[in-house]
Amino acid sequence: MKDLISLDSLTDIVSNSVGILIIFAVINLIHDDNKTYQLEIPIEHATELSPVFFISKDDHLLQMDTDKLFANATLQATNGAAANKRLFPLDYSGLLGKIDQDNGISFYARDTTEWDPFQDIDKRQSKLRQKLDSINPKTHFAYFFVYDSSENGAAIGSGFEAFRKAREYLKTRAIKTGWQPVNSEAPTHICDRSFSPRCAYLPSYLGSQ
Amino acid sequence: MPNNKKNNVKAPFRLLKANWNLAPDTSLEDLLSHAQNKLNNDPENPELIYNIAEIQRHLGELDAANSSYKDVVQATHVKTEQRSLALENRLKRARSHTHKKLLLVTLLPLLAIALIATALWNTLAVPEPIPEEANPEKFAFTEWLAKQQMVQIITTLQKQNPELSFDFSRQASNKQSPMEFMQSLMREDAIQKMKRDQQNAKNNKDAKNKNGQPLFQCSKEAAISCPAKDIPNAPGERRKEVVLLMEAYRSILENEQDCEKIESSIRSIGEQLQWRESESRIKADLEDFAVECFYRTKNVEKTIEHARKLQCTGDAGYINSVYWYLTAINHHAGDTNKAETSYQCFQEATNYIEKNNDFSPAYVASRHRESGALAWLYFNDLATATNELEKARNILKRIKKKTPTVLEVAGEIDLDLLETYVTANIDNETFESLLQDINSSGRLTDGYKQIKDTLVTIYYLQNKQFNKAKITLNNIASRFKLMPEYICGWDWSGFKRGLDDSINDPDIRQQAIKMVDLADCYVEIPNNDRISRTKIVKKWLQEK
Amino acid sequence: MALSRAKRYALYNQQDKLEISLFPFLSIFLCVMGVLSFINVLSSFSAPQKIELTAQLETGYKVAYQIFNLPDGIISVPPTKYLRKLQTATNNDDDKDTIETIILQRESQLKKLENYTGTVMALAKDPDIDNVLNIMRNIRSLNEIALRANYLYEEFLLFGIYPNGGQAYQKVRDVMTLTEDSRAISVGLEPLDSNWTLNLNKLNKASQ
Repeated sequence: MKDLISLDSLTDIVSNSVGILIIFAVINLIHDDNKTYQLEIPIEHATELSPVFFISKDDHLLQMDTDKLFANATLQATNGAAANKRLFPLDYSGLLGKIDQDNGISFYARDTTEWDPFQDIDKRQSKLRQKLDSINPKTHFAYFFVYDSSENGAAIGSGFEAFRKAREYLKTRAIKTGWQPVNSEAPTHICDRSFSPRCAYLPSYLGSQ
Repeated sequence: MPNNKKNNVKAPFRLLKANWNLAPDTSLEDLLSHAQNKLNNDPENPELIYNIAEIQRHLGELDAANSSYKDVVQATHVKTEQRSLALENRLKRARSHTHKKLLLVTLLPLLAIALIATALWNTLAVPEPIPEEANPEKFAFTEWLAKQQMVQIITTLQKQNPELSFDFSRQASNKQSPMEFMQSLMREDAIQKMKRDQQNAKNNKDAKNKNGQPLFQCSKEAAISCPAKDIPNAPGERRKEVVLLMEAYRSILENEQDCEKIESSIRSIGEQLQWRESESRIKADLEDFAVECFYRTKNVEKTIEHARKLQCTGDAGYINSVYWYLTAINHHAGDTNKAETSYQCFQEATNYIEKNNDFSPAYVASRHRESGALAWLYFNDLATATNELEKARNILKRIKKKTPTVLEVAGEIDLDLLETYVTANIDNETFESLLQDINSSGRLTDGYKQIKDTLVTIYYLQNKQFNKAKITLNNIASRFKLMPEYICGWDWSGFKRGLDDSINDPDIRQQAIKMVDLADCYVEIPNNDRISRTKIVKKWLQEK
Repeated sequence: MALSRAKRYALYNQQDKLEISLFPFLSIFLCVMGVLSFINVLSSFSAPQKIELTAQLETGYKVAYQIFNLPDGIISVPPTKYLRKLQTATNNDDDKDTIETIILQRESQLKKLENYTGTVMALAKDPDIDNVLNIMRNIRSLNEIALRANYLYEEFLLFGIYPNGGQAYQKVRDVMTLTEDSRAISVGLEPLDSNWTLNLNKLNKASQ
């Protein structure tokens, strides 16, 4: 029995073979230049659906309750806090507002700690998921104002990732999405077409059929 | 043999004596004594103890020899242990050294790579700032130059538009740079917008008499009595920020389908703001949304209620809107007398705004267009419809500068005219000329392209230009494939009525009706169904 | 006797039986796990992924005029694939000349992009007002020529926006509000990852 074939050699051979195969696969992977990504082609289109607004910044998402925001803004405006394009607090997750002739009402986002992190989309009972699920695809679509960089100008921490995640999820719920990039110099704003032809909030990505 | 043995026994001791520098003839006892002395100095030496044991054995001291042999074993054991420990320590040190070497060789390079990568990442990710001297907006000379140019532009504008006032104090306090301000003035309708804004401000002052009743009163109906809450009459200056905010709020209400929500929004905003006379336009805007929403749902009572509320705001800019909705909803309700009265009021309102010079020619032209549409849709009066459209076109032709508003109204009028041309089966040259104008307007949305192509297809069918009809039909089908929502505002009822007289051939008329049905944007059917219906017409065409 | 011998052998076997050691399995398993982790770490530090963005991008009859918006400016990639077919479809000589001019302009632009040997991102230029107005004018001209010729072809603007590219995008949109040409041009926006670089080889694919 002591003369049985030792498995150590066989193990060595097998593990070496596997290792080499993996290395070859890695080399192939690194030198694979021919990856083609087919981008989904978004085109803005006219719609009868109403927009539900979101802001996406620093990996966080904030749903804008326009009724509350406009009510608070109206209160501030009647008290004179909005005169001469001053920034005024909106008492809504740290947003500041500004009213002017070119942009209607602009919303400046500073601290996003009170907002929902986009990873919450994967959690079934999360508030963010509930907010997204409450959008009725027959009457509404989601419109995102997406910060294209974080506060210090770095690309990491922009709202792109959060927006993409939300868009993917909403697509599975057959909810259309639209978006536009914003930053601290050109912040989120809501205006009417009488201000500018750019004051149009249209969907460009279709929900899955 | 014994001699050899003897020689062999004595040999080791000879060597031993030589090693210890003893004479070769030293006796075993002396040798033993010497060895024992040595042992006193080195009691643990196993070799020495062994030699003593051998000497003792040769001397016949067997017990002593046995004892010494045991001592040898013991000493060896201790030494062995000591050697083992020493070896273990050496191994430990060697292992520790190897570990340190391994760490150095593997981790350091990885750490270095990580640091370099992080440094590179941070460097690449930071956007390059624009050098101060290269940024023309910051360059002092350019700004000075822009200011000079701005002054020149404004002086020229003032000469050209004496009725406008340019508020320099506002300009001084706002945050626009001279470049931005000039750009804002360069927008095509900037001056028109400025005119309208100032006119609206004036209208809001002049639109009412002292009793707060609207100045316009239709001769065909009794004066309406407006409840106090519907009349914006709170005192005070126009709150600029509030007005801008409410104008922005229009984009929220634009597509709102819950009419009750719009109604309650208007109520709560009214309670919060207490509408001032100078802000009546905003109330009118919101009431217009409410009317449109209730009309869309064909709620007769609510449409009339909010139309009257709209009227009570006293805004001259919405008079026509009031009577449009009243005409349409009364017609829908089957009350043709009231519909007719409302239409007559619409016409009077159009005359009123035309005479007052407070509205742009494009605005007036648009009202004539609407008048023509009402006449045709609800009263089957093609003559009045054509007449109104011609009036509208003539007004637009007299306007020298084609602003975006003018182009928009012209586009709408051209499409209406196209419909009348198809109904009248006008000559090919006139038809093609109008079609080229429409195609070159640069304003056709996808929805209106479908309307246009539907009319064009029917015209080609009427005139048996079947090859051309096939092409436009294919275009319609292809557009529906890529159209997520079919949005348009087009009422086909008048055109459908006209088909009976305009197309003699019953077969072609049937196909034309099918085309109209598939292009009806108020009928909610999936685009795939619309595409299938084009295939039915296409199949008929292929047999021709 | 035989039985006891057998019993002895059995006892002997029991004492010296084949023990299956987990070591070989574990060594392979750990080796594979280690290499896979290494691949993972390597891929995060690897060179930026190159994605090949198709220069001629279309959906049905709608063809994209692509404008990539970067922190340093914009890169325009105009479509040329169907312009010859459009030229054949129209009967108007003026329209044919217009299309020819546009094709030549665009092909020259694409050639410059193709022949560029440096980093693609360095091609980005601050949006020039005249250039943007020219783009809008050309797109509108082509769309209207197609309408007049009853040929189903429509160009729309597709903005690919990189992180920090929003400023360049806003500039282009601001210029677009200055002209009526852009009124009926559809627009699409796509957020691009900063790791994605452009592969601009083989751009010039105007149809024959």
